[in-house]
Amino acid sequence: MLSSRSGTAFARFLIVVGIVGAWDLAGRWFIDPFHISRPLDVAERLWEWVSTGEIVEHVLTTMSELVYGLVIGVVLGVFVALILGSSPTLAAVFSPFVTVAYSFPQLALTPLYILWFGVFLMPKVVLISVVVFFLMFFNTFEGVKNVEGDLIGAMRVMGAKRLDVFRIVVVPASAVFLITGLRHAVPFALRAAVFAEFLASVRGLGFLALVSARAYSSAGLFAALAVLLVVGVGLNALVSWLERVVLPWRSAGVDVAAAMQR
Amino acid sequence: MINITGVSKSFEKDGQKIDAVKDFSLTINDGEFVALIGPSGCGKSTVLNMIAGLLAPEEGVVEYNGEPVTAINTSVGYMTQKDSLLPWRTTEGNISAPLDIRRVPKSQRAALVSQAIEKVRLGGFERHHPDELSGGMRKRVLLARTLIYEPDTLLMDEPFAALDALLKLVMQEELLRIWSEARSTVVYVTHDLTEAISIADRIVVFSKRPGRIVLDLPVELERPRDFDTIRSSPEFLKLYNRVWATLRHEVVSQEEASGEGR
Repeated sequence: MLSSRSGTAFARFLIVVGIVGAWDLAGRWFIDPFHISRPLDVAERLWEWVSTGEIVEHVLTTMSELVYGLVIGVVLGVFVALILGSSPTLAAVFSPFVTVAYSFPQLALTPLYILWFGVFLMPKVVLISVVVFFLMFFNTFEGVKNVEGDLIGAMRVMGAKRLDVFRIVVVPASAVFLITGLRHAVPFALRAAVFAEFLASVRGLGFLALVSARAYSSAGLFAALAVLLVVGVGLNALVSWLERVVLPWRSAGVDVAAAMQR
Repeated sequence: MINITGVSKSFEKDGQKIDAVKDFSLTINDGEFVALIGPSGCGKSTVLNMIAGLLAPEEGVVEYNGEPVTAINTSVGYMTQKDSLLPWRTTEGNISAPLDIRRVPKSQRAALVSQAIEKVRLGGFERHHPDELSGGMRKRVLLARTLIYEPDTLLMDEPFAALDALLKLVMQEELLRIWSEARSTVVYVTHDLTEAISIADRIVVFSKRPGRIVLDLPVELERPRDFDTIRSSPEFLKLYNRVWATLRHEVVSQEEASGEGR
């Protein structure tokens, strides 16, 4: 078991080395580094950013956009879904509006947000919140409608009142929707942040990538993309950690499945 | 004692009114183990739902211990074939849910839960989540959860239908073993004739829809029953043939009726 696992890790390592090597060779022999830069140049640029501390404000800017946008979008999305999910009347009135708004490409409203809220943090937070809101809303709304019917019925037969149902079923189930929704929402939030920074910004990783490209610096562009990659992977890891903390029963289930295969 | 007198209940399906039961009457005595059997859709589950107080009859009255049932009947335990365990709670947590709802002090819960776990033979799985349990174990948890507040009456709607034939047999024996200690009233819905005769004191055969009683027979087989020998005994076969002759007629005419409807 251990040898096959370390074998997998080694294979992955080889693939990464292969890609970076091929990139380096291509830059030397076939393609003008003006277009694709070179791994060493990118690394050098990254080191420069890190050692001068220049990168910090850009990372912090993009991270703030993401964190504020995610928190607002997730909380509102789950909250509204829980309300509409538990009231068929409200759901009947509002769901066509939500569906229409969801079908609309949210990113197209970015210029409007910039017009209203300027070029700093605010328009990005608004855009990310809106995108995340709809993802969370639909995820949770479907969940509330479908998954809980049987559970609530069973609790009611045991004598559960409305508040008991809320405490024993709705709240813990919401944690599940929250985490699974977050999993979907994080990559969308990252896309929205970069998109909004491309349109108008003065700081941020998307800004850094755009400015480098405008200065014809492919090394700077790739370096900015590399940092974006790290931010994306980091956020995903954070969600996984959150899932293990909030939903320990889930990861326990996964472990058992793995144990049964052994 | 359960007294159902002149009860009617209909449903709306595709704009058509369908009578589930019409002018239906049945009396069940305390401590009786009654099996309700009949073709699919003959209103057996409707009768259980009315005893549980989940459905109100349109005509007639359902009395439980002399009182008309007008709200959820908290003196009964209801177990359906649906898996309504809370996935985020452990075996212990799921079994203690009714105690939680009934505001049983926390200090008393642990003892009751461990008794129930012992009763359904789930020792060693107290801290497992439903995802980590097999189908049969989940049924044991459901059974323990239904029994823990010692309801006077157990309503069971094909509780083991989802299990394979062998496991179903094991669970039936377990149910009888547990019932022989508690001796509560059991109303058991099934469409498995062998199951009905093996476990019940009395068999009530429903007609095709709208459900009426076409046969009401005592099962005079000695308890405790040994499933290995009982099913080949002459009394069993006699009873089987007698009930099957009636049941067969109802199943066939139900099939023909739904055929014409198409």
